[in-house]
Amino acid sequence: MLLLLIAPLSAGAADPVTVGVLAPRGQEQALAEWGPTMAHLRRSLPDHHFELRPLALEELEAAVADAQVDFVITSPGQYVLLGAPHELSWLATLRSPLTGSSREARGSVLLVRADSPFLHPADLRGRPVGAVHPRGFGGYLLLVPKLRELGIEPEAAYRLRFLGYPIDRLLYRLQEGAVDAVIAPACLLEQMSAEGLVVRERFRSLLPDIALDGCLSNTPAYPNWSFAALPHVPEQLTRQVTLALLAQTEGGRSVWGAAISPAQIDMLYHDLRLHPLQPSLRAQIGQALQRYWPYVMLALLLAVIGLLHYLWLQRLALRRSRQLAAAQLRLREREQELAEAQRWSLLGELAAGLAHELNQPLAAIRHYAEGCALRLQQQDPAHALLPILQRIDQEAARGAAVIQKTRQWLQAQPPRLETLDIAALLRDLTEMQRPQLARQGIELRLELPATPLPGRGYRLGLEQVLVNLIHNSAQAYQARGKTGRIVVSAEARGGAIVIRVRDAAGGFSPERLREPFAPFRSTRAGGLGMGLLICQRLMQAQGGRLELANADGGAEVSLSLPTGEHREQGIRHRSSG
Amino acid sequence: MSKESVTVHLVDDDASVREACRFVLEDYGYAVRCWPDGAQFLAGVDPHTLGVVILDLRMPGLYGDAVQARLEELGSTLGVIMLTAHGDVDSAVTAMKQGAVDFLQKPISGRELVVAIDAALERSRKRLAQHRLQRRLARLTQREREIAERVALGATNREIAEQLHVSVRTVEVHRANLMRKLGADSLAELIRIWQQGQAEA
Repeated sequence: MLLLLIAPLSAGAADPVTVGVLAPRGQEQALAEWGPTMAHLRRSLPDHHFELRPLALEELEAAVADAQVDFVITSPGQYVLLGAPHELSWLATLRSPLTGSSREARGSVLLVRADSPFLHPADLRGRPVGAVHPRGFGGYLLLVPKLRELGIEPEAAYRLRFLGYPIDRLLYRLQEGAVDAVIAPACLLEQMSAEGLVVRERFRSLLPDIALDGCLSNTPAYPNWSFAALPHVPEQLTRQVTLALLAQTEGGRSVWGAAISPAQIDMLYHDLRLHPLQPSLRAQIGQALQRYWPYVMLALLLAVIGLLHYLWLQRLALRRSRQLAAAQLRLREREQELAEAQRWSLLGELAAGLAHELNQPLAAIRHYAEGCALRLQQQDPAHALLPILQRIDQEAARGAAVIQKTRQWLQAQPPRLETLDIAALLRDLTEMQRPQLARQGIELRLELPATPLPGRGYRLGLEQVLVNLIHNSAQAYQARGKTGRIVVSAEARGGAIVIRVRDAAGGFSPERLREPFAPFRSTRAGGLGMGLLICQRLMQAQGGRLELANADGGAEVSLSLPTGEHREQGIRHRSSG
Repeated sequence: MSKESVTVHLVDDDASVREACRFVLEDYGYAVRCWPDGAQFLAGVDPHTLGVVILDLRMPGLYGDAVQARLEELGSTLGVIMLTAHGDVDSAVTAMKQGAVDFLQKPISGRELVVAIDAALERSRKRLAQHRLQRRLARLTQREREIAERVALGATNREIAEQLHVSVRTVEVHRANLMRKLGADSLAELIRIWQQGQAEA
């Protein structure tokens, strides 16, 4: 601040002018390197006392920020990091001693020991890799884009060690084996080799080499070091210094050239997102959020809607699968219920059949015993055999009573009749039977009219009958080693609902047609012949009928039930009588 | 009425039961006629006679209840007893509705069967009387019917002649004819026959 005020006033005197210089290789190195330039300036501008101040990276930044220096000599990386925020005026750029160009001077190289096994940057994953500084332009920053091109994010892939200044440390550490590779400024190796500090042949580059002033380099060259003035320096002094620099020669060659555009470096920094004028990512996001707030809200809303939609679908899927499971369970329960009903029917029928077969002879016994008693009584009312005949009669009656009790115990309660939607019942039932039949190669077809079919009956009983009939048909196919079709149809006819089950499996035997419901007359091996009898009983119990016929090379069983009450319009109810 | 003059028809497919039943019923003094199935019975029996039919419910071919239904259709005067070795409740209900009074469970004793037969005979007798009455009523002409109806309601010949716009003499002739056709000896009997006939119709 003081300088800012006194500089114009003291322009004529031998006032001090401070030149800050980035000293990557240490103070001495810097003083030695920039000594000729400083001497030249002192000679050219005797009114000013030029003082060189070697500074590390952070020190230089701080010095510029606080205006503690008037001029700076710095690496190309600093052009932008220091230049733009502090409005530095770039006066001259160092010319490369070999090419004489100010433009192509700086590069970066990834070095490993010549005897190390590494052949590719990727081989260094997880290995210690040395560099000077995360913002060291000549080294680290220049090489990062190269590595990224290869898919390597050095900060993640490598165990980076930032060794700081002096940069000579890089090669020493690499040589010692403290690190497996270093990211070094181009020409450092050659320079140190020339100075006898290291042996160049002990190192090699891991990336394709781009020859740069005879140095190993893995990156395109970036402009060389430059000389800049801080904004507080009077314009006159700036001009004088510029002229002096451009006039400096060494070995007949100009040391400094015109200041070059830092555009190329700007680009690099942009790529690295390190540009000082480039807002940080977080700031960028913040700005974007502010600017596009409605869109962001919309996007968020859509995302939330999407999420809700997804959850909703999940819920539906879950509910659907639960419904399926429940339907499966219901189906199994229905099948069990039917099987149970069938078992009871069979048992009841067996008991009835047995009762009949036993009651007939018991009736005959009783009649004969009683007849005999009557005749004996006419001959001799005190005949000794009379009480015996009475006992025969009593014993027969006792046997009959046992049968009667068993019958009563097994007898089902008369079913409660209700109005059934026959079409729905048939749909459910065929659905239930279809998979099992399909396994036997039998197609089960349902033919229904469009009109409603309200029948009066007993659901379980009717289902039981239908299952019996369908199974009979299926077994008839099986017995003939055939497959085919079973057709279940229904229609409203004359105050009744008529359901037909037909097949093409040969039909009933003449004997069966003559006496359809005689028990113990199965045509099937192992069958009791109870099926049709049970069906007939069940139909009778609901006030219905069952009839057998043969048609089209198969059996046709017709069931009829009284028409039930129906709330829908459609069938005309015809009263009987 | 002597038991010998009526026939008990036994319809049962089981020959030994049939024979045993005939054996005991004959001891009780009935004339028994056996039938092996319903169809033969229906073909061979005169349904308009005094008599009783004992039907086995569960028979091959025509079931007992089907035979009974057919008898009802024919207007049979036979008294019906249903016998079953099963004790089917549903069939029992059907049979009762169709007019069979007794529905009996096999094996039944002869004594119980006799009670049922006598009750069935009583029904048969009434039905037969009714049947005969109806047959007699059926013989009347339209004009005789009109006159009989008015006579039964207590109208005099003159009143009837006025109502039907005929002469008293014509009414007297018709009245004599219808009395003869109905077998009525007196006015009181005519009234009784007529009322019975009306009640039945």
